[in-house]
Amino acid sequence: MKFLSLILKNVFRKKTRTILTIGSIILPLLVICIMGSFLKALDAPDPAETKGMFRIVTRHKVGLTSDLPLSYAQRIRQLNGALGVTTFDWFGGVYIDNSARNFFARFAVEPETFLQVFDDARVTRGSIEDWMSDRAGALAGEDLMKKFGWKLGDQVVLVGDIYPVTLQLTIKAVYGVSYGGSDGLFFNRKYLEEALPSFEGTVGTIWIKCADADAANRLSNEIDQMFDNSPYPTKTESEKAFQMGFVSMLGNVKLLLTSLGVIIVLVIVLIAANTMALSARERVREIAVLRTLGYTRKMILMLILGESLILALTGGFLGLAIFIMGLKPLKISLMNTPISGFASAIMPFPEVILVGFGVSLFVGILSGIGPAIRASQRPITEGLRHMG
Amino acid sequence: MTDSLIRVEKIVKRYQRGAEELTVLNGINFSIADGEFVALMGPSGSGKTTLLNLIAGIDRPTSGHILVRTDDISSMSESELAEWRSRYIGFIFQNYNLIPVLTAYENVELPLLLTPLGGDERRKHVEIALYIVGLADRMSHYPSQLSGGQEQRVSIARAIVTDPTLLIADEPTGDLDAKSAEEVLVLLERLNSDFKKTIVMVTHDPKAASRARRLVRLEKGVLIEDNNEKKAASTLIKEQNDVLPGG
Amino acid sequence: MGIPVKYNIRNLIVRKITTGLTVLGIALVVAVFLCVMSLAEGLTRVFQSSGSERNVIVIRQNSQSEIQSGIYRDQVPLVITLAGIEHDTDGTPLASPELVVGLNLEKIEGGTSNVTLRGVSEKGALLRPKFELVEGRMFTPGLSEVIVSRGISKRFKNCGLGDTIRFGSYKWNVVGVFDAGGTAPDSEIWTDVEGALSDFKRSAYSSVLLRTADIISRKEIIKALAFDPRLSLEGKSERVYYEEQTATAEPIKFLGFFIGVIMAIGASFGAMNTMYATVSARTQEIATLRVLGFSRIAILSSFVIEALCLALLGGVLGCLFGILAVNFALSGITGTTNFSTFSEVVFAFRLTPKLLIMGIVFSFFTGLLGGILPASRAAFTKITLALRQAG
Repeated sequence: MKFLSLILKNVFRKKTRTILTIGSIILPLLVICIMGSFLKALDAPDPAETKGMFRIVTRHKVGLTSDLPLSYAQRIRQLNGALGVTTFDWFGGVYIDNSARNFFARFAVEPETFLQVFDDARVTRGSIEDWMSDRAGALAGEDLMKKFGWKLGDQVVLVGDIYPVTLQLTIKAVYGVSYGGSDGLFFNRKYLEEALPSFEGTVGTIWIKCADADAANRLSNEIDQMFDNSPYPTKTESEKAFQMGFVSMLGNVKLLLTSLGVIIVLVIVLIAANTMALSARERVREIAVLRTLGYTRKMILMLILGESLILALTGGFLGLAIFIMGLKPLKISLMNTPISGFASAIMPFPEVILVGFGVSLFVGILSGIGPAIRASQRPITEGLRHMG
Repeated sequence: MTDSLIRVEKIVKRYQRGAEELTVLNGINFSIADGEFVALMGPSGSGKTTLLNLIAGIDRPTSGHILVRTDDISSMSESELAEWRSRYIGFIFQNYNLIPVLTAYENVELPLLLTPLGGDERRKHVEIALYIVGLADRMSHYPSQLSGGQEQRVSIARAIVTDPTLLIADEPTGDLDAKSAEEVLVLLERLNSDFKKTIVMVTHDPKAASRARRLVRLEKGVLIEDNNEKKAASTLIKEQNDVLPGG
Repeated sequence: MGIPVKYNIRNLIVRKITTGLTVLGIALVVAVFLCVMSLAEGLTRVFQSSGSERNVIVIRQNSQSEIQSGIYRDQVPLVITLAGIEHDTDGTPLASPELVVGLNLEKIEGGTSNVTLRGVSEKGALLRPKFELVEGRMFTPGLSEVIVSRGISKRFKNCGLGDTIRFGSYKWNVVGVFDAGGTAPDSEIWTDVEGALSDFKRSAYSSVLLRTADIISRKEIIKALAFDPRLSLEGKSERVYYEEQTATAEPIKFLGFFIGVIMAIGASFGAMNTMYATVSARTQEIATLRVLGFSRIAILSSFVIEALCLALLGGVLGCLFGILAVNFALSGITGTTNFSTFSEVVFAFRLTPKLLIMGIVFSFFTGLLGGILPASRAAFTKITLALRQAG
């Protein structure tokens, strides 16, 4: 332990340098944590695996811009193993303006069957009955309520673009989910049908809750086969696969972010290594003196390596602490920026924290090993002769 | 009083060291005439280096005045002092203080960069200065390639290159062996006798002191003029020779 | 007069390792910044160069894009007979009612992505000056034939010349490959609009593209559409329309700056360490310079310049890395999603001189930030203490 105190004394010998180095580790580490969180969020766990949700999605085979007949939902309901079937239609439209901040998911749905399929959502305020009783009622997510400062009973006006109607909705209920974001707005499709008769009878996507994994697989195939040769062929896939579809549209985002992360780690190593080189150079004579006192080469190596590790780990812990504690304010501050959508996905995933810790360990070792070896290998007489 | 070049009046210098306040100089009065070669001696802690720094304008007195010709340098601002130093002072340090990454030529040229002289003009001055100190052939050497004595001589060349009014030397032979020390002292003597340079030198080396023409001692912040300086110095040497074997 | 720059440069050279590490750190930060920004630039480029000056795209009022728009058949004649539309040599108006549909196709590298299928009318190709058929031939209306852009044919399965794109009971034969000179159609598959309408059972077009006679006519037509109560349509200059689509690049640009600034601050801390260390090692030198008469400002500027030399060297090296990365590692045609239409956008990373200058400016500020404090410390060195003279 005496050795440790020697190491600590050396690390904090030059306070400014130590603070600057720790600062230069914390900042890039925060960036890595943010990017890592985003990557992890893209990799959202399969609801089927984690919660036994077993949901599948049916859409027009050609693509999301084509609609299916509403009657398909009814036919799917008859199938064995389909515990619940509900419909979703992306309304789009404009809420106030087209800024990134005012963009959120807005769907026309069937309130009666909505919670049968999405039973992992809980109603936190208001009630489903209230929602169903008002044709122009809406169900909003807790996150959305917080973001816009809405209250139960507030009016939300959506100016349609895909569907040329303006909707005036009243928030009748609020939902929350235990995992993920609750940032969607859902209203009764009947409202849209009355406003726009051409909408009646069509549906964008059909969501089905299955009894178990086997049923999910079986039903996916059954549904697609059922409609394969009809004028509206379908493609049915698991909820996770459907969501991944959006992700893969982002191109090689994963590769980009990962490469970015690697380079950032490299930068941290360079800066930390610089610090170690600077401090090692200043202590050449001092180390030679230690050697004359009987400290072995190995001890000198451990001394310097120990310093770089402590420096890096201190930076790592502080950085991770700042990340975890500063997450909420960070997300809030990013809400008005172009990356608000991504910002809401950032969470303190344990894997990200682990990676952050691993990075600082890696930095500590890599940045210290060079100077440590040089210092330990230098002949004593050469060290004593060294000027300045 | 002959025409004084430097007049030190009632100089007091106090330092704060932790909780204590130390008075290093306590009301010194002193003057140096044009062309003098003064050696300032005294035990360690006597304040001789402090006095030197004050005269050179690199430190400020707590109270009192220092007049160099007509300039009251004790009341000048930092930037005024910088400019004043560049014109009137040549400083020679104990540990030479040459810039390691510059050649001998470039080191000597440094003070000239503060003047409006052009490149060719500067070259003339540098070459003359290096010639005077006998190192014209080492112009492109770096300090690491020169011996201690040579480094000190480059430092002297740097000190004289702007033809300053006053040469200040702080233990110029302190880091040198006997032979190099001798060379440096001969040089300083020449600068004083042939080139009429006024020199104030701090030293504790009696041999160096004996080269000067006037000896002043500082003891416990008080100045003692030693008029029989040559006699006193040579007595000192003789005494030392008696005491030390081999002389 | 100040301290000559060679003093700073030689000092940087003498401390090779630490100079090298600092320069490399800054270089990497600049390179990363440049890569992300050239991604954004490449995306923006596609939209900026798309659209001809005299073209007007007509879509439903308040639609953000064609995908969200719908124009009924009976509205089309009203649109193409507006005054100010240029006519072809045979007297027919240069107008193309079109339909866009998102197709979910499989990529060669795995995974799927949405690709825009555009049904165009006879004049469709004419209205795009940069359009060029490079292989095969134009599709024949009514025969389920399509032509694909070069970018699409390279990235998606079954989209090469002679292939058949299959979808359940749909089948389209690829009979030609085209190049659109870096504009939006480079991310599209084209077919005839009537065939597309019937295949997808649509009753409305997405848009009508018009060529106006001149800029004045363009403005007139846009005004006419805006004030026509019968049609709830709006016209936009095609250029403006595409510029508005650049929402895609915004998040990436923001991310680039966000990461860039944080990393630059981190790198400037590293530079600060380097500078503090060198100031500390040169304390006696600095005092000597002050004794010689160099002013505090001279010392301050000298060390700031030294820091700037470090940083700018890193900046130049970073630009070099960036150029290498973009031209070699990232030169394959890439794709990402146009957020407003959920469609695939084909683009190439573009490292423009403007971005390179931005990178240099970035490194400049990194150096300034990292140098100013240590330089101040150097400038305010107390001479007597620094010379380490005993009282």
